[in-house]
Amino acid sequence: MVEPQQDNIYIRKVLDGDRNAFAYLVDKYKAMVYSLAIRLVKDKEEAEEVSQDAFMKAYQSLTSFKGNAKFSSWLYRIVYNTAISKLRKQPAGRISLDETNIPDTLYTESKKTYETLSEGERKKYLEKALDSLDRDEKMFVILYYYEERDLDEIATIAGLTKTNTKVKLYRARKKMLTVLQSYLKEETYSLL
Amino acid sequence: MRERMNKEDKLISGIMKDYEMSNPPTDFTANVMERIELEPVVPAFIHKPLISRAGWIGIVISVFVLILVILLGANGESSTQSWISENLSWNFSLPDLNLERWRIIDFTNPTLTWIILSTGGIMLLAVIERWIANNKFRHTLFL
Repeated sequence: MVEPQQDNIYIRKVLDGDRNAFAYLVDKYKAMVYSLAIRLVKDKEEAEEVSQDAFMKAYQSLTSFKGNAKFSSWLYRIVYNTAISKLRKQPAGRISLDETNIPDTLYTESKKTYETLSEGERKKYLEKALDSLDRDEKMFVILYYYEERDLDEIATIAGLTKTNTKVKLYRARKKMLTVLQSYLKEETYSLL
Repeated sequence: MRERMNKEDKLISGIMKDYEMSNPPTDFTANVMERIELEPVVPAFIHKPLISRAGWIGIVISVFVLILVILLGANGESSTQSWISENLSWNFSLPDLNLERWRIIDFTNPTLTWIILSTGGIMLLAVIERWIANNKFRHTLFL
């Protein structure tokens, strides 16, 4: 069965009064929701609170879900907005970015170097690269590269234009590469 | 430039294969459902169309029949002289509407006038219902 159709079946059940059917949707999306939340708020307890609040808002507003978009996209938008509301007073950390500083050979060399690392090291560097991004960029990278959502969907989730989303994603990539470059520098040049 | 972007894209794409989702605490679903138990039984509003599907079918059929009756009855003089009124002894006549000022359409013809008004009425109902359905909760979710 097509995934969104299955979601719609459970949504219908909830709307028909079977609130336990909502547990299916919570179970299905809790990992992704929590992962997004933790990237956005950077604190496990707050991430859990944001995730729970997001599911509550989704439940309370389920009647306004029209089914034109995927339920997951609609839910991620709620997560994003809930997290942003929570973080409104906290400025997002940014790193300085010198885009011209990335040598053209880095892409090949970084890839080679990265592949020689152990799984644990790769994950460590990935975490550091993701941590260098601001909250929007983190979400965009996860949705685009991990969830394989297209730019239109991500733009809808974040309430931005497609062009803005594309630009943010481009900047996020550059930031990640800059951070990876600094961590992999020694390994990269040792291979040259 | 494009080639460079593609390289970056592929590199990040490869790196992101190591990404693992974080799992919430094991009692997460139970905690959410516990909070939901405290909510009203069903989310506050279930959209019910102002006119049901059967209602729309009924309206369309009625209008179609009405138009058919009017057209069959129209013999160029008056709808009271139609075969229906003759056979069923049904004394039926549509009132003449004085809409002379709306010159774009020939409102002197009552048959045409009623067809236009009834079709317009149905379209208006459909537009109103669509508008209500689309706007009712649009601004309630994202604050």
